[in-house]
Amino acid sequence: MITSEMIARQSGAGNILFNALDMGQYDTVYAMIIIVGAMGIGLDAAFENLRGRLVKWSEPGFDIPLSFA
Amino acid sequence: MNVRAVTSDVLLGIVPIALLIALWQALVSFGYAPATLLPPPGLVFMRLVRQLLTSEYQQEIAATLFRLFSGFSIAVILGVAIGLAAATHPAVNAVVRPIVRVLAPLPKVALYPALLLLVGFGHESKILLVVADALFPILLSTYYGASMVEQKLIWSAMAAGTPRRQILFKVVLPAAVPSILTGCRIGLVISCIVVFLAEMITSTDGLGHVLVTAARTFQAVDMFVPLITISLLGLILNGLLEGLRTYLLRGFPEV
Repeated sequence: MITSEMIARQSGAGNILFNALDMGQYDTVYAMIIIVGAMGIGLDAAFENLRGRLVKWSEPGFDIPLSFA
Repeated sequence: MNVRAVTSDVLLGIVPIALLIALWQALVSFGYAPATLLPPPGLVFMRLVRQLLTSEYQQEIAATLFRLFSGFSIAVILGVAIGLAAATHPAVNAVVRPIVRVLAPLPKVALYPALLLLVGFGHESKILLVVADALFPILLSTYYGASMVEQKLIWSAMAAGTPRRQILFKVVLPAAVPSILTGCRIGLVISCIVVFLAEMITSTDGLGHVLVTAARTFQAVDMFVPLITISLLGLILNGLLEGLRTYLLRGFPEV
């Protein structure tokens, strides 16, 4: 999703990230990287939580997240 | 698996691809998509063959392959080394675990602008992005593969007088090879995707750059050529890795 926004450059976090890079607003670039990173970690945690609730009977979750985006 | 079973598997694999190409041709032939935006497959494949014979296009493929293999090789070396170290040394595990827990679910493509700022628009930023993306599947599969080696095997080796250092290379590593190769296979597919995307976002050469340039100048036929090329490259590389896996795991019961 972020990648398609980086390529199409119309709206979204990827668009803000590369617009900031083009305009030399490096503080915004790093802030957006942290925001996108937090989104990824948050979504991963939410999915792991949902997985834990839906399939309680299955093997316990991994100590280290197995998702790699 | 006998020859007949392999042949039937190959034929079954070709059928969906043939159906997809037939659907593509039907969409153009029946006018559902204008030929200027979706050219017929025959035209695209003819252009592909013609392009593959030109030195310019071969250079674009070479640039993509160079970034792909550089990034993937670094990811394999780092992933296997860190994964083995984390599985066998509690101190390394304590350091690696929190770092991996934070970085693994992070969308690595978000780091690309930072990589561009730090190392520039050349090969380095793309190679580093490939490393960042391919590293974690390889590291995690190595870690879990090495962690799940049966304790009995290690005890047996120790009882036979094998030094601790040699146990790592003669027992743990060979037992973790199936898991490591699975991680490598996932990492290779991710590397193919990421190098292509990185070239699409910012590059002056490579297959991704050829695709974006063609799309921006509305050259629909030229747009499909790099797409098919990278698919074929992925297919060939995946086949080579599968061959290597079969060769390395020829003694294992699962193969």
